[in-house]
Amino acid sequence: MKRFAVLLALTAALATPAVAQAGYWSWGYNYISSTTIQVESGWNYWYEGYIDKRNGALIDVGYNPGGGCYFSVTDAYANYFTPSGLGCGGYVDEYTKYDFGSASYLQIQAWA
Amino acid sequence: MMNMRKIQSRSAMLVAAAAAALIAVTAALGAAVAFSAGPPPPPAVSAVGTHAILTPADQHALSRFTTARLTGAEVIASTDLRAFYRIDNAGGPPCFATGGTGPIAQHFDIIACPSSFPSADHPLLDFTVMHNGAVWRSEGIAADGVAQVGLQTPTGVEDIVNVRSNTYEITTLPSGAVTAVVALDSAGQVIGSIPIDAPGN
Repeated sequence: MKRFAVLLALTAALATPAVAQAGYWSWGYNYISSTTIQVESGWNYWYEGYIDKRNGALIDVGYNPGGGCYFSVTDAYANYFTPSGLGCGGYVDEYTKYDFGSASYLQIQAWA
Repeated sequence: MMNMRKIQSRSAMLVAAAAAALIAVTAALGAAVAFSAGPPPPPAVSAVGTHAILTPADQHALSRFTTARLTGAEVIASTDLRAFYRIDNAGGPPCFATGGTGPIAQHFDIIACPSSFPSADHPLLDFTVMHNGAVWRSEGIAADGVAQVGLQTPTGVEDIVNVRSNTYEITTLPSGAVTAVVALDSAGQVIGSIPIDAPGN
């Protein structure tokens, strides 16, 4: 009975996401280019994002593709950003999009 | 007689070799002098800042950087609502950020660690934010030598502002298309351009 209780508690702990970090999304390291134009996290209460762009030309980074709020990144940058800092808080969809020029090798992350 | 001619021939060769060596040394010295007086130093962001008091949220934001070790910040310029930060990077060149000022939980809106700023090719580190294809906020860091910054529109460079303490903030924003942020020197000449969006995006 005691063993069953321990097993039950362990299963519950593994199945329940940590309260401090209710969501995490990551894509890359990989290329976005004219063939892989855009990647996005899906909708969530993301509160911060990070992108490590190693090379390539112009990309857009931000929230809610197809309008939304974003900034542009050229060359090699590492950027930390928040939805509220871009004027676009709340329930959002983080994304990065190829704009023009050479392909960009990057990793993008989001935390909720 | 033959030996005498050989000696004279060898002497002539030695003289020629010495002359050639002298010319080479002179040329090398000339090149060295020309080099030391030649190219200008690389652009810098020389504005002196004041120590920034960081909140736990600010410290957390700095800890997100896995390719740099960010340890603190200083304010290099501020207005009533906005502040411009130089971020200390123990693992490399400084990073920069823009954000809010005053007693708020998190000051940093965007932190950037660029690999090529400041440089002759990249005199601006731009933090312009777009909303629905239009400029929503335009600000950033300018290297030494940049006197003004403006926005490139289909009709020319507009909304030009002066650079203050290596920073710029464009508060009059165009409603139409903007394709780049443009850096101007003190003579009004364009010395750099940072694309911020593709035409028709």
